Amino acid sequence: MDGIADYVFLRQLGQGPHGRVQLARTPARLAVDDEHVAVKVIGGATSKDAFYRVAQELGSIAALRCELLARVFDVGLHEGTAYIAMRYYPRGSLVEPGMQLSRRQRLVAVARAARAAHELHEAGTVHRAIKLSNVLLDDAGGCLSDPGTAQLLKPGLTVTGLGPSSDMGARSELEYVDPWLLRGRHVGRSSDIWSLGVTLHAALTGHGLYPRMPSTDPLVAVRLHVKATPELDPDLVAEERAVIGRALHPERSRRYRTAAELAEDIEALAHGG
Amino acid sequence: MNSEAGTVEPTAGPNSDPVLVEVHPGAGVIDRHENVLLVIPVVGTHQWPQVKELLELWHRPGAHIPNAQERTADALLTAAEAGGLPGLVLLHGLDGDVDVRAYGDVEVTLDGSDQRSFSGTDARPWVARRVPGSVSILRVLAGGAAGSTTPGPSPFHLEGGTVPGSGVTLHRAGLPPPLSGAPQATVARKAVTFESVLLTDVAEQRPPRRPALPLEDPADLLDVAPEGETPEFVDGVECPMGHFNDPASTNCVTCGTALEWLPGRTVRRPRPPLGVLVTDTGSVFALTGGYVIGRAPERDQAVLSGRAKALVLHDVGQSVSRVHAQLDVSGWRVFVTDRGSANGTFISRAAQGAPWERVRDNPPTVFTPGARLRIGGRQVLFETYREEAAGRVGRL
Repeated sequence: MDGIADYVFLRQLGQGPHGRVQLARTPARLAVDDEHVAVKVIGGATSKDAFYRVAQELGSIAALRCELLARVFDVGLHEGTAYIAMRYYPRGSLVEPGMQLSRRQRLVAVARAARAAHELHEAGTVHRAIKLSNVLLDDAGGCLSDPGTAQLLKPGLTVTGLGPSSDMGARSELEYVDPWLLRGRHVGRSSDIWSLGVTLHAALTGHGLYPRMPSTDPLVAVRLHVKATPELDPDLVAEERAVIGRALHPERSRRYRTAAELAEDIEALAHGG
Repeated sequence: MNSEAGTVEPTAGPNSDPVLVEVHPGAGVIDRHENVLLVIPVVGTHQWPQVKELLELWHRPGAHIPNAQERTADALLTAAEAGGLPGLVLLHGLDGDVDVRAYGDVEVTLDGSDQRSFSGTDARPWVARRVPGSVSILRVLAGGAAGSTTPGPSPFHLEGGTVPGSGVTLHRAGLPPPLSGAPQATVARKAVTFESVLLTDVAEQRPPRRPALPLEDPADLLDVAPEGETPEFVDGVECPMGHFNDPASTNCVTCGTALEWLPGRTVRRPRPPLGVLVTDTGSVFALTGGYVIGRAPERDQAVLSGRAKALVLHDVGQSVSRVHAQLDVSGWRVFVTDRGSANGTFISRAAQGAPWERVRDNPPTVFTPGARLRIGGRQVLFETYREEAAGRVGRL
């Protein structure tokens, strides 16, 4: 595929479980100064109803004008395939930063992602897809990518499959999912806070919270994941363990009440440590 | 239509070099839909109503599918003949060639050669020519305008839609830019029609803000239906911690406490999620209501009416039917029926390795936690992640 709608693709930026992200020239109709945009092409056919749900959701988020959230310019449907065009962040994400990052820079980026999640929560939205690769790097220190839209395309969907992942191996997508969701519970502030805790751990240590999965059968992997206990890296200092541990508390009611409270503690780690 | 300066884009058949379309400025109309261009170089003031009608005919849904296209072109030219319309040209990219139909006072010039030019007035009611791919430059202008002046670049892109212009020049790609000062054309490709919702100016529209999420998770206080779903109320029992359970359960599904069920203690509450469906690619769906499972279940009546959600299973060999199986939730139980699939639906109860039994549609088969469904070449597991799940299997 060399383009979609009036976007001409220049090269592929990445591939997620739902589709590919391509670098494209900015069509004039967007009326933005950016020379390039990142276009996420949603794999599989998208119905008009699902497309309108996505457009409405992303529209209400764009209206927040929150600078902590990656900017989405355009949502479209071309011959049954949906795409989302957003700002291109040449510095990459926390998983593939375009430059060497200090511990403090990584913490600042995660703290900003937590603040972004809080803004979304206050506006009635759960992000659902917070992970290392969705913390993008910009001049201000970082921002959070667009919220997960998979559940709008497929109502009822909780986890979007163990597709190829750039972060921490095949099962990493699962790590970011609050185990309560795998028991059928609903998303909320606390499920995003879980994802932020996993993101924080990965940003500090570079690896995941669970030992390697003994089975490659997803049916078994999901079952084992729910029964497994996250193991924090032993090299973390006590303050770091306390923050991550509270974000990942098995009881949702004992996690941080808000992502803003978590952000404050991450900021304290950034400035103290 | 865009206001960025540019000459751009293409009419290209599947196996041909792309063709760049250069729009010449003027007060006529150039319209592009897919790989068909409609060029009306001059429109008199009195002719606008007819031109509008013509464009509406041209833009009618389905007018551009291959067979209909032919008929629409005929209808268009017949309308032109009858209605005293201005001269017009239809250009249709076909496997590297360009199919040209010229009507009335318009001139088509090939490779800048007068000898190879023709006019829409050369024949009645119109001139039809197939211009081969060996022709590098094809120019359409109003009769008498060709060669008089060198047209400058138009400020309009022609990705699709309608722009003002007095003519077009088609260039084979790979040639040097046709006009000095003309902006560089992008990679040519077939024109596109698409829907787009621009979010760049949405902040000015200020859609109503939703209320903030609750600080406590609803599930930790009381099990409620997800947002947007109508809760189904069921009778159940509470464990000492207040968790809501199926009266048939022996232990609390949340904390494992033994349940001493007493008839007088049932309460009626929204049904909590009964578990999750895990597909063999690791997707997880919350089991809060019915599902239609298949390769393309979205248009099924049960999904359209909102009674069930769609669970799409793709497989390479198309062993999954479009609408293959259906899950219905009634009370605390889940039933599975085959929806007349080509390859049938099979259930394996409890542990891996249990024999596959064919699912019948009457009476419906009970789908119990821990059981798997085989749907064509794919599998779906009903998981509750409860310790006692295996114990429940035999009881339901």
